[in-house]
Amino acid sequence: MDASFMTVLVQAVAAQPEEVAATAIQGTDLIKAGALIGAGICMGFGAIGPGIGEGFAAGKACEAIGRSPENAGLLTRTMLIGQAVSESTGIYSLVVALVILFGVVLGG
Amino acid sequence: MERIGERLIWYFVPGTNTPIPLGGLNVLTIFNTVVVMLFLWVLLWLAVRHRSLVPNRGQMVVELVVGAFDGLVASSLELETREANRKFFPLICCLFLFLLVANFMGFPPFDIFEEPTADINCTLALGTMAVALATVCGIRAKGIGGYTSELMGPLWSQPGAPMGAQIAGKLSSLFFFPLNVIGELSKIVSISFRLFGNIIGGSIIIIVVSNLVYNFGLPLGLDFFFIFFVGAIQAFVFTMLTLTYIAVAIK
Repeated sequence: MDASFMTVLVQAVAAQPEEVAATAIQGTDLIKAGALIGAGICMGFGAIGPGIGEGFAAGKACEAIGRSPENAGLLTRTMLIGQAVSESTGIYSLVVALVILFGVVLGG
Repeated sequence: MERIGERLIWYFVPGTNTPIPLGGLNVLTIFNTVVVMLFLWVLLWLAVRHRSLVPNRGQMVVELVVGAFDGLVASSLELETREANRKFFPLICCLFLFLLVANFMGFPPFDIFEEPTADINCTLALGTMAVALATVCGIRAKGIGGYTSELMGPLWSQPGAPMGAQIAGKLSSLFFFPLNVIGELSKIVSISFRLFGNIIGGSIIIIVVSNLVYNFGLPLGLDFFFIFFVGAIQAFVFTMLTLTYIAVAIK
């Protein structure tokens, strides 16, 4: 490694601007941040209702199966259908969160 | 990861500069729908090729599915004759089989195979079809007058009531009519967004976890839950809801 190479290297390092990535926060950044927070809130609060509802349905189905185990197949089927229907509010919030994420954040 | 929310759309006829009208063509959705259709055709044709009184394996499975849905339609609609139930049976059975295979289309690990039901256009079309069919069946069963008086709310027709109560009942339809129309329209949104959200949510979870664990082992287990279990349940739920809409409309 000769001196000329060191000179070039030192000059190159010294020529770097001191503050490289200190760009200001743009308005679009704020929109993206708000959209991400909004998607998180939307999904989080939207998941509460279906969680409680499906747990309730499952608990009642367990009670019913305990009372009449011979109907377990029918009860399980009905429970799954009811849970899938009561899940739909959570799915709506999922769709809204997806629209926020992919429409606002990635789509620009 | 950047491709999660995107579907392949042709805006131009390939090879030319001619734009496709109505904002483009969802090629993969149409392609996968056709694939599902051909798959079902070939599968069912192979299954019932040699029909006999003592069924072989394929005929047995198809008879099981057909018998189950025949009983389901009969117990949901509760019409008098077997023929009246049979009028709706082909649609219901066909809808279930199509949605079942369509929801499983995410399983083959090729780029061109993706669930047609993960496209909102497909589920919206199916939901519109279900609600429109229920409306038409309701109008046929009750007549246009009966159907509209149902839309106008519970106080629209009260024969034998005094004049003031009748006028108040007619006025109450100003409140009930928009409510009922919005309720009918929200059926479309609810039934189609449920299917769409479940399928695309499952596929997004599979993609995210696959990226986290570098596609090692776990995604296959997730496939079996999110594609096969959820897909089968959602296909059945969509079919049952279509049947319920029809049953409510014609009763």
